[in-house]
Amino acid sequence: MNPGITLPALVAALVATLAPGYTLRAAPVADVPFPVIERFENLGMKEGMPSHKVHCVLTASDGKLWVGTYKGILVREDGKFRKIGTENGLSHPMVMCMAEDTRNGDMWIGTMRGLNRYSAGRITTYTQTSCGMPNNVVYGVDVDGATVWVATAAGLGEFNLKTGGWSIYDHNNTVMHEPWVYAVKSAKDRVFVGVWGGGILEYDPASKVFKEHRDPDRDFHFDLFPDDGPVADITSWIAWEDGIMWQGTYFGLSRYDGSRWRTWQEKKSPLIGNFVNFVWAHRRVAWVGTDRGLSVTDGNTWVNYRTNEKGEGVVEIARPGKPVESRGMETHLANDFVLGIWADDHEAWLATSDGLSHAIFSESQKPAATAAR
Amino acid sequence: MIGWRQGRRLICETAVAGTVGMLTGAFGLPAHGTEPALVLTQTPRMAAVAPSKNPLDSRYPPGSRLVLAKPPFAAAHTRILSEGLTAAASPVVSYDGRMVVFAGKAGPDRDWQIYESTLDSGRPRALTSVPGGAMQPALLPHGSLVFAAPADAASRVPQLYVQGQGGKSRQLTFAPTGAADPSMLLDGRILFVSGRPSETRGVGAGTALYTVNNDGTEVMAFACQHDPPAFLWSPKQLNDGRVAFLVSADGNHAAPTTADCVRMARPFVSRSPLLPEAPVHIRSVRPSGESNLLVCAEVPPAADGQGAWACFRVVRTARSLGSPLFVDPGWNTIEAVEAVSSSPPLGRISTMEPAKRTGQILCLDVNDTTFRKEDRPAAKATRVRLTAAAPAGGLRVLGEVDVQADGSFMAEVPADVPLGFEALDQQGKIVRRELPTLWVRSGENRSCVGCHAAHNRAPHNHRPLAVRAPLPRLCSPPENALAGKAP
Amino acid sequence: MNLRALIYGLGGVGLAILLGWLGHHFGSTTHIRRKIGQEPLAKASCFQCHFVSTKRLPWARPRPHHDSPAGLALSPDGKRIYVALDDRDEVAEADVASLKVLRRARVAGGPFGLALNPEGSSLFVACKNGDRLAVLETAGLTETGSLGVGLGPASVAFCRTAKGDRLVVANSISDDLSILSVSPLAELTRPAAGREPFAVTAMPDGSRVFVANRLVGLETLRTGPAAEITVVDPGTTRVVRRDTLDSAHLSEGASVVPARSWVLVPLVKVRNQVPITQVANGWVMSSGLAVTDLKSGEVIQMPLDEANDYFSDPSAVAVDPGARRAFVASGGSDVVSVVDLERLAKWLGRASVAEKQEAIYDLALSSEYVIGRIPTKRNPRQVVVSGDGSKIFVAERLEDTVLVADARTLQPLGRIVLGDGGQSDPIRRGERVFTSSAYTFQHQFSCRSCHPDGHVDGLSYDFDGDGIGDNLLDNRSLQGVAGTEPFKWNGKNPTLEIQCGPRFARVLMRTEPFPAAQLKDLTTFIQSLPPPRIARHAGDKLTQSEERGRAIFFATKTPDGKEIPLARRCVTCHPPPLYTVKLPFNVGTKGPFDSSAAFDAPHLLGIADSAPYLHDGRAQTLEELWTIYNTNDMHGVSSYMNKIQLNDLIDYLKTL
Repeated sequence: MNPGITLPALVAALVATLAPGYTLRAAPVADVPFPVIERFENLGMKEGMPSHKVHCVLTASDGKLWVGTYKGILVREDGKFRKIGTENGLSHPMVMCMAEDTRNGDMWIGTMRGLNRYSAGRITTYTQTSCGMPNNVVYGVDVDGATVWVATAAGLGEFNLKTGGWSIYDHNNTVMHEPWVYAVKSAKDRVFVGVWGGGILEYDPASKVFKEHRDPDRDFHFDLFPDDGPVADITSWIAWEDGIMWQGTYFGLSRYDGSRWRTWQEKKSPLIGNFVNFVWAHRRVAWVGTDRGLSVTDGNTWVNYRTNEKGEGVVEIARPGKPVESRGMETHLANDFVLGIWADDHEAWLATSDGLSHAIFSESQKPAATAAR
Repeated sequence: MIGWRQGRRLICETAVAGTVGMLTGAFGLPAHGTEPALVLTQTPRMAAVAPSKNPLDSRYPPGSRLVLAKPPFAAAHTRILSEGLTAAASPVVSYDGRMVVFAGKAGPDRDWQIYESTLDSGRPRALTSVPGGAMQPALLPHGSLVFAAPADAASRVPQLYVQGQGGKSRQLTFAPTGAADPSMLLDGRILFVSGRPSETRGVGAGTALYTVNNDGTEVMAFACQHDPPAFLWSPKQLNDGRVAFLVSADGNHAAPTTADCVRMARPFVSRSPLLPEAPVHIRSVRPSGESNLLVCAEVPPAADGQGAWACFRVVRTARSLGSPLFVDPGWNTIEAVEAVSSSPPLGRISTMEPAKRTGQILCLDVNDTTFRKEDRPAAKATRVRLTAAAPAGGLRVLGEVDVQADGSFMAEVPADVPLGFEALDQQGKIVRRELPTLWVRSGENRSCVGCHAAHNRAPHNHRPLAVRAPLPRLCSPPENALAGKAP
Repeated sequence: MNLRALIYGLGGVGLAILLGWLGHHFGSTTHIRRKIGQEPLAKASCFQCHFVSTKRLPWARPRPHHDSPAGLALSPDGKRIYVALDDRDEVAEADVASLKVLRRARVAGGPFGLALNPEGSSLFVACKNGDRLAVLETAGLTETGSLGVGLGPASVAFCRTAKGDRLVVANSISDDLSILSVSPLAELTRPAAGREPFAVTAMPDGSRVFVANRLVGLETLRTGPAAEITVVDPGTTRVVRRDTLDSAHLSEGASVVPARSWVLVPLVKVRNQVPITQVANGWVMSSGLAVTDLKSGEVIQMPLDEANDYFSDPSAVAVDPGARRAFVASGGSDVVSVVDLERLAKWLGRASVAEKQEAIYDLALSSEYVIGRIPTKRNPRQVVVSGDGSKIFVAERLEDTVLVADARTLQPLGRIVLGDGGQSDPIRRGERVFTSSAYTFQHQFSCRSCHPDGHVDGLSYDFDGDGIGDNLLDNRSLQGVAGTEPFKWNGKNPTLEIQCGPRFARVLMRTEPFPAAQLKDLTTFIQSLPPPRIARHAGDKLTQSEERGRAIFFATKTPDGKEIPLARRCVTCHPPPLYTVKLPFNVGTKGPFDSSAAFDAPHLLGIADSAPYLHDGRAQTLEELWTIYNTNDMHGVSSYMNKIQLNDLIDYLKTL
């Protein structure tokens, strides 16, 4: 017997092979260093979604699922969805982003008109007229200790929860190329700010210094010199975890570990599409939502999920130095236009332009903790 | 520092005896020697009562007098305080304990008027000279006099008046059924008795207790509106959180009369006998000390076969009278009040604007009502018709106002005129009706929670839509038939 | 000759006086017009701007300090009681048997709220003025630890949880809670509470902490004012629920009743939306007790008053261990009301949902369950019950005493005397008047019922002085008002004596004015109130943003060099040191139901903490003054500002 194959693995492989209908389970995916999705369970308007468009999704630290849609929020608790809308005090139905203050369970919700704090049932609204927030259009929000960072259409807002004071950072007082801020992500002692058309700003709160990361070639469409900096300046989203910052742009994906950049564009890499709406970082793996489906990568191995012309789910696995393995799936994404993602070691939730997908992982996958660095 | 705690009941009726103690000192009778003197109304025991149109003459026949009795209350050691008067009654001791104010008659054919005597000298001095007479005095905190007039009740129903130091009296009440028996509540309001208008019984079929401020504003039902005795009189706030009053089924002074009480804490749902096992002939109940009572009642017939009226001091928790405190063989003692100083009630600055001839009324929700027909929900009103008591009797329509979506309405109305309300549904049918009872004074802003709303009920915290709507003015022609006339 | 000289002399003097008066009148008017850029809308004098110094104001002068008891804590064995003396910066320890004070420890920062650990070895002290939590070891009554928390910590609760010992501190000024670990003493998180969290109570098993908030949330003002009971899981440090108290506020106490799964919170039921045409029948406010049923989640408001007598400013509540009785201290009425919880439970058990919802409006209902009223000395503000349920201890704050009463017979047993009562101090005497409802019709409310600690209740009211239905008027703070006359939004009251005298009695108290001596003491007390506390401490340097905001506040030109009209500069109407020129101005805020367009320019000291703003409270935040309500730049030229500049200006205003 091959000493590399354990008995449980053999049994698992046997069971998987015999199990009808589960195409992926039959595939040898254990070498993929992050979870691989086995199937999708989709929730659309028929299942109670208030809108086709689901913009963002998040599992809170207490296990409740939060779904931000075009028409309000759904919260799943005890297996049931409960809607939170303007009738409950939400400042606007179109929910753009959410972030949890895990210290106390407060949920910060960015909408097309204002920021909301949902705290144990109470919604407090912050608007550009009621407080020092830069602008009502909130694209991104993140919480770091007693600071809430808000990416708005007119600059970056820093809300100090202890003092109630706001600071605004925009083209007037920083190196920001323009005030249209699409994303913000705190990263321990740094804050990464995604600026539409302005690349990324790296802010050091201690020194109050902004450092700009721009695409060295300044070309939207082409990454003339790969890995020389951000793939493009049109930053659509930013994710950060475990020392790795991921930049989503409408022209590809970038990765930055504090010193080195890597960039990916479709055709030149397994990235499923250049038009990146969203990136979710879990451990050192990026979950990349594009207009053509979902890419999951640690930078080396890629697993893409899309729907083919027949409407069937397809999974493509690109291992380093190996040909892409493509297989059909029994289920498919609710829609390939992926707008928001939340994932951990056990499951993923995908907000799409036509419903919410619950991604069930293949049981034989290793946790992403072992992902290659 | 004002005596703020006076009259405040610091232990509740519901306190369980034995587990909850009484907090305001001993509740037993005062030790002998510390007892205050008494001011007593006495009527001749053997006098034959001549028929009279004036009920006061029947109740206090000629010869009735006021005397001061000091402990140990021997009948032989009393001093007359109404010297020179044909009759005297209804004593009220001033707050400084030095004067007694009372109703008196200077001669058999003279009107009853209000007099005062010092407790030292006993020489009466007339305070009023009201045509038709004045009766039932009460004292406002700063010495102003409140009384009911006329006393003869021949020409018109009595109303309450206030008379300041200058001697000029002003009318306080405008109740169609009259107002009488004023007494002060410790919160500064005047408690009085008025006939209760009723659709079914007819005006005056029952009597109930009302309150009014010292300027005649804010007239309000106080108690007994829903279980009105045929005759109710002589209400008085006790020092233990109750209001005692006398009730009988007949206006005749000789009719059986009992004492009832209500609790200030919940006056509309607490009416009960004051002394359940006392005789049915009680003529006076007044407070004594912190929580005891002075009661004048008829004692069982003596050897001569006639019942004598005596004064009793009764502990708060007693169910019967016990032994008399004071008996005078030659006189019936029918009223008694302690000759002690007391803390005056709170005063009040008038909210009236005398230059105005109108006031404003605001109803928060005309559809907030306890009025039900056959257990069905009350019909919804969309308009309200305001009426006024016409001088010649009957009703005069002042006008109609729209009810706002939240049930509120507001109107400017003539002052000092009894106002009635008819709630109308969409078809104009009357769904609820309040006969003219209340009034507003000049410049008074008056509000109510609803139409036949529950008593002692605070409003919801709601901004009524009516305050944002144009104010309907229902004030012409001026209606002052009852207003402003000196008695 | 002499006569002529006399005539000439008198004539000359008269002429000089006339010329002087004319010069003063026209000269000063012209001068003021030149200084404020418009015709003054009220009588003005040199004192609008000159001879104004905060150093001379009463609140800046030293004042006597008193042994006013604040928080109480009983040792687990019931032998000792600890008393926080915030005005003295001390904590006292007294012997329950002898009623003698045994020791006092100095605890800086205004010790206010107390909590003991179950062993009784550590006393945790919320220091309201020092923004810190102090730890005292009871053995030596010495301070062994301290940690900075939010602003104005008013109370603290100890909880033993599976994840360790926790403290929950209610920060009454910063409107948040500091959730601390005890060992090490560290802040774990600082979640938002309601507005002015004031009282904290914990379930004995440490599973939940309940926080009573004193003011209604600003976010509720437009939909219906409501205060909050914040429910926290101290183990996970999460806020798990926020119960609302509709149209209720000024809750300063809370007590759990584990045996009944209840939480009790005293409250003032407020009716600020209703025109104040009367005060009878609770038309302005009444007192109540919120009963939160932890099983059903219901929060029922039950009345504590009677139909014709009120028990104002319910400040604290404590429950005996047997869950038979609750004791509610009414600070305005000098009474502790005794609630029979069994009777209350029975009533709640048989009442319909509608009856429970309407209960608070029934002023005759309390007789069903209030079985006694224990008289106290002045201003009972805290109450605790002994572990065996035999005694209650009541902090008589303005008497410097703690009343000890038998919890069963309700008879007084004695008093712990902490100080002399301070009757010789007019400020203390005035505070007694300020906090007493004795002067109000049926004892319905005190000055404090709308001005907790002399500050704001965050509400607007409709006084009917000019008829029913005028605009609501924002309740202005009394803190820091000395020297800012005239008073009222219309500036009609030239002195506090007039403000608090007959007009107040007529419109609100519906009784007689305060007697002259009491009125004098009252105004002395009010003038002794310093401006509201703000986050910035005196002597702190302004931040860069605040400095920029200061420049905007004093600016005479816009950044592009345009002259700002004199009448539209911040500093014209709000000049330092009081930041008011004490004149009315039309700032474009006249509403359809306002009788005048001109409103008194309020002082800005401590303005960060006195929301909402403008005469009718329409602006919930300082930002809204300019982002929404600054019509045609009438309330200062702000249209040139970008959001950063506006933030700078507001940052500066918050330092005043």
